[in-house]
Amino acid sequence: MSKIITEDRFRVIASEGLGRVSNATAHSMAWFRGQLYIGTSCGNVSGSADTPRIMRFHADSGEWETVYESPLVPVNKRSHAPDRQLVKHVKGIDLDRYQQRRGVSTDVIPRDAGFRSMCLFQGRSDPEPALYVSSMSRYGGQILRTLDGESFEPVGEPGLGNPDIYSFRGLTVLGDRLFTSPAGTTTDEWLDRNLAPEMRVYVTDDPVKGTWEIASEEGFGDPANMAIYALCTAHGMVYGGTANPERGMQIWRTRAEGKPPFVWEPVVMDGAGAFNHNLAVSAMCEFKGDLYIGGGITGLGYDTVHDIGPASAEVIRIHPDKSWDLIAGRMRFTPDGLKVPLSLLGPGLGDFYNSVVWALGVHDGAIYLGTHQWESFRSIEIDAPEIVGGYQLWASEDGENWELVIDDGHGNPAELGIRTLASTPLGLFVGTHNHKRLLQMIGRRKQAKMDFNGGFEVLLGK
Amino acid sequence: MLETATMAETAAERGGGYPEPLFILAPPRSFTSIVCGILGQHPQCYGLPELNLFLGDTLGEVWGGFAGFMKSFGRDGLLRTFAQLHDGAQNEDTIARAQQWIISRSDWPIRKVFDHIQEQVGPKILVEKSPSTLFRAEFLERALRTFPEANYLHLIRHPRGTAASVLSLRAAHEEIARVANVPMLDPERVWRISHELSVTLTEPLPVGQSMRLKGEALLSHLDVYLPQICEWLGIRSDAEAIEAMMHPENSPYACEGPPNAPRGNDPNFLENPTIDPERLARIKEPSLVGELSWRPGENFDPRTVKLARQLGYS
Repeated sequence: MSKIITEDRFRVIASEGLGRVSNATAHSMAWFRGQLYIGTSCGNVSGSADTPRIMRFHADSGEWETVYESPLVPVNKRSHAPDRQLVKHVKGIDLDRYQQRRGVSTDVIPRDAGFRSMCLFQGRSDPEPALYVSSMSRYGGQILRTLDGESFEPVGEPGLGNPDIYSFRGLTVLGDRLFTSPAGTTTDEWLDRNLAPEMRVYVTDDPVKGTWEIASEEGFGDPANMAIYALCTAHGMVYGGTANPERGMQIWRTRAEGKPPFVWEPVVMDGAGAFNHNLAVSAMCEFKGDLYIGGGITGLGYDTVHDIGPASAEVIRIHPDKSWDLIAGRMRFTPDGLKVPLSLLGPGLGDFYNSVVWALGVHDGAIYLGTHQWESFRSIEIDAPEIVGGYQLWASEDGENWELVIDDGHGNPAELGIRTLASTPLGLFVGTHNHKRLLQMIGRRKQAKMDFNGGFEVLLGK
Repeated sequence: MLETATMAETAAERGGGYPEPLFILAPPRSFTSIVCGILGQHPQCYGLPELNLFLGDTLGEVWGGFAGFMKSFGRDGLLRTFAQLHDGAQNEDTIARAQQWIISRSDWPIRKVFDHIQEQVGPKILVEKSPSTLFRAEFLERALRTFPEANYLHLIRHPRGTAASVLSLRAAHEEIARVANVPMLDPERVWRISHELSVTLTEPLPVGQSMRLKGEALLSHLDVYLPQICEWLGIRSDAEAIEAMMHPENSPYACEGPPNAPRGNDPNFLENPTIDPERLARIKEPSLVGELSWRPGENFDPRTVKLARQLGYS
């Protein structure tokens, strides 16, 4: 009997951003002290109504509790510096004007745009395992810590001392060490949510002290690597995936032996043979002894800053001996042999609009994969009679035969992506990303009908 | 050997059908002659010279098509093919007979012409490489329409290397320079338009029907890539087959033809079709950065750089 949870066994346990529709994304999730925690985010925080939160789910009552809210801080030049990727996607739209129409206060805004990564870790100064959370902030991303799930305190300086670092991603544990890498750059002139001013991995065994050490060479020694985009443990090692606009994603790994910086070895180069159409490693997850990796171009499958794409997502898997298989993508010749997509699915898992694999997770003997699917934007662009599209959830018991579990954003074309997956004793939680706000801004000019919900959703499958 | 290794034979046995052909898609000076020569020597393949069959719907349209191209040297491949297949030899007499044969069948659709070649050759994969297939979108569309099940190998070469080779050929052959030294045939422009066309029209094909390969990688690592190509085509990849592929000079088309059809392939290849492994191993990819030798003070157009990076060059 299949272990895969079918669509009819998923139910929505949170919708419309849990009362804040501008909270578009359930960005991170973790199971801590017997409860689910989610970190929400808002793409463009403008006032207190947008404040992202860390929330806790009470399974017995089905209710959500806010356990942390970003503090409000005075507006400065960085607060509304344009997103340099987004600006080119929505050229012609005055984002400031849109905000004013919403009547938001411009005196103070939430310090954080959201909470990107969560992880349980017991550092030297932690009396017990703590929940660590990384924030996204135009004032320098921070790492928060809680022991009890109710009191969250920052550990370390904003940006770990570099206030231009927007966030940290991939909080990852190997042994008694915690790893992370900077994500995104914030400046007075522009914001980039993904590419960081530092292309390094950091490590600590005591985050409470706020002291992090450099764990890798800058860009793993390749100046064309623009970011360490994802971190994950597998095979007793830390794997790091990069974004590389010139030659495509790279994957490196280390056993993290001795003192940092550690020795890293290359595993997969040149976008796994798809070059820069596999711009970045977007998700990683170990399953049945292999490391599964999603690649692609984040956003709408087109990197406006580096003029790459459009392209669709691919999936590969890496064995412990560094050999690798193509799971979904374009069949190709490579220095490592002929790569046939073992799932028989092409780029985008057969759907051009799946621009990136945004989440990978394992639950009860099956691997799940969530996509970012942007067909709804295309629907508006071409004046389609109906807006269609939305995220897809795929699953496999062997990593090769995949089945589509949920399609079309579970009935809402604004539900563009699955941002996070969490396996828990209660079942598999799925956190989504909803782009209704941006769709409205673009669709307003075309009187497109948008009678669907905004704000993230959380689904529970069991 | 993979299960697919007998695909060619199986297809041939199925109701008298033949295996699908392989078309190499690339603009001029992209290693197509040597690659076609190599693949064509596989025991289950038959390498053809440049037939230019997709310039028209009928043999007559092809024969008189594309301005001076066919009249200058574009017909040689067809003539040599029919001389070889009909008479078993290429000389002035057999070429003359081939020309008569072609002229008297000007109403034949190109598919019928190709099928005729296939019947003459037998159950082998025909390998064809006319750069003219990428001269215009309609030519490639015709190829895809006429052979919807064929395999397509999009062969690429670094734009700087391609341009250097184009310019070198033009410098050495006055008759080619006369036709080609015009702004419309700027080597960078031809490279970009041709590869954009190939990428755009082959991308939607089913998984595995169209494959892309850097010529530099293939030729400098034949041991790595030839078995992969065999695996893709479902043909033998044993040592004997690979060894046969290492001798493109054994093709009846790998030499200069008789005076009334001397070409049908790249002149340099016809002059020296033998593989020089040491020379091939030295093939390196140049850089996208830097001034263009043929347009002093200029660099590659950003559109060229974008496409080249997508194809794996830096």
